[in-house]
Amino acid sequence: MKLLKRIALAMISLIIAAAIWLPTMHLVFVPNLNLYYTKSGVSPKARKLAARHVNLWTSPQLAEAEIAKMRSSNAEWDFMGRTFLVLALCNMSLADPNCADKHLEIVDKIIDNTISLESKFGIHHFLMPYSKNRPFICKPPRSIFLDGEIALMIAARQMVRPKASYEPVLKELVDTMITYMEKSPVLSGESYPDECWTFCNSVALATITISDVLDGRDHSDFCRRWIETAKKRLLDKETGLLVSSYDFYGYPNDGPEGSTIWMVSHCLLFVDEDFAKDQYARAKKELAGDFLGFGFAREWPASWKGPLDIDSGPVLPILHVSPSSSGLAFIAASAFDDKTFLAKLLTTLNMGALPTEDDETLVYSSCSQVGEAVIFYSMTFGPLLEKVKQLKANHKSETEI
Amino acid sequence: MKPATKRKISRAFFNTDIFSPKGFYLRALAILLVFLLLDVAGLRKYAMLLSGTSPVGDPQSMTTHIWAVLYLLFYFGAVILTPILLIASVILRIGLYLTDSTSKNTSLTPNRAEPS
Repeated sequence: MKLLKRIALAMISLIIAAAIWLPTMHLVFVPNLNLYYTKSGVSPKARKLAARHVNLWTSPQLAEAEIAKMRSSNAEWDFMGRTFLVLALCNMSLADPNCADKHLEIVDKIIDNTISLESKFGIHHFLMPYSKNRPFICKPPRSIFLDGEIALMIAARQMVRPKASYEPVLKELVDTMITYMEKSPVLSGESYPDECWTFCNSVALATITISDVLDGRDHSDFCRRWIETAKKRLLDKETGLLVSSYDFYGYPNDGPEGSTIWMVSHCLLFVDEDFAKDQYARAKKELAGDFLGFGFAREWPASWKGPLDIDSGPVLPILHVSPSSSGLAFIAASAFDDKTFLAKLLTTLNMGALPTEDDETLVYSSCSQVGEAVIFYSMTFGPLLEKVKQLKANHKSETEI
Repeated sequence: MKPATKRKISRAFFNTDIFSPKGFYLRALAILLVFLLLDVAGLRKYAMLLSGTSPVGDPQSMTTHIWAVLYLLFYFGAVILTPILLIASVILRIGLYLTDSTSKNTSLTPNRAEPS
C-alpha cells in the first residue's frame, strides 16, 4: 500500500480513537458518591483522610515536613490547612461521637500550637510577606484572617464538647473582631494592611453566630447590618456576586473570585441562608465548568479579568481551571447538597489528584495538606451547621416563651 | 536482560513503522511502561507541584520541576494517549484489512473491457 494512503488511514484511526476515548474517559474516574459523602455518619473515604491527617499531627516530624512544604510557597496555607482540618474533625466528631476523644485531642493540639505560634512570632507568621509592606489602618494591628479562623476553630471545638479554658479566648476574639469590624465603614476587618477580604469577614460572621449559640449572647443585629452593607457596597454589578477584596473604606480591589466566593457562600449559610443560596447559585452560573464530563471551577467570571495570584494556584489555560477555586467548590457543593456538581468535581479529583489508597488511609498525591484538608472538610460538612441551627431554634423558642 | 534481547526489543520498537497497528500498540505500551517505571521509582510525590506546593519544600528547585513535569507528562500520557493509541491500533488493523481485501477483490475482478 502506498505510504501516503497508509498515513492517512492511521491519522483517521487516531481521530476516531480520540473521538471514542475522550468523551468516555471520565467514566473510568466517576466516583461512587456514597463512598465520599453520606447524609448520616462518616463516609469511608472521609475516615481514610482522617486517619492520614491524624497520623500527620500525631507524629511531630511528619507534621513539620508537611508544614514546611506549604510554608515554602505560602504561609497562609499552613494556617488554613489547620482550620479546615479542625472543622473536618469537629464535624466528624459530631457525626460519630465514638471518635470524638481521639479527634478532639488532635484539634486541641492544633489550636494550642496555632495560638502559641501567633503569640510567639506575631501576626506576620501566618501572613504572606507583603503584610509588612505598609501599616494596618486599625491600631494595634490585627488580622481578621487570623482572628476569624482561630476563633472558628475554637467555636467548632466548643460545639463538640465545651472546654472551659477556651471559653474566655473565644469571647475575647469575638469581641475584638466586632470592635475592629465596626471601625470600618463597611463593617469589615483588615486581613492585610488596608485590605479586607470577604473570605475572612464571612468566616468571622459564621464564627460570631456559632459563638452566640454557645454563650447565649446576641450579635444578630451586627450580622444583619453586615449583610445589608455588603449588599449595598460589596456586590459586583455584572454578576451580583460579592467581590473578593476591598480596602478599609469598601472600594473593591478585585472582582468576584472563585477561591473566595465558594467559601463565602458556605459561611453565609450560618448567617443568612437566603443570601447564601443566592450567592452559591450565582457562583455556580459564573464559575462552574464541565469539560468531557470533568467538573471544575474558574477563578474569575467571564466578565472580570483579574490577576492570577498565589491563591488561584497554577491555572490551566484555555479552560481557566483553577485548583484553588475547584478545591473550595467542593465545600460549597457539599454545603448546598449539589450532588451533580460534586460528582463531576470528584471525577476530576480522581483523575488529576492521583489518589493513592490502602486499607487505612487515602492520599491525594497532587494535593498539599491544605488541599486534602479542604476535600476532607467538604466530605464531613453538615453536623456542625445542623447543631447551630438546632440550638438557634431552641434559643428562639425559649425567648418567645 | 541479555544484550541480544535488548537489541531485539529496541529493533522491534524502532524498526516498526509508526503508522501501523503494531507501531501504535508498541508506543502505547512504551508510554505505559515508562509511567510505571517512574511511579515505582517514587516520582509520584512530585505531582504535588500541580497544587503549587513544592514536594521538597523548595519552590525554586529545578530538579523538582523536571521530575514533576516528566512524571505528569507520562501519567497523562498513560491515561489519555495510551488508550487512544490502543483503540487506534485496532481501528487501523480493521481499516488495513478492509482496504487490502478491497484492492485484492479489485485485482481479481476480470477486466471485461480488455480485448480477448
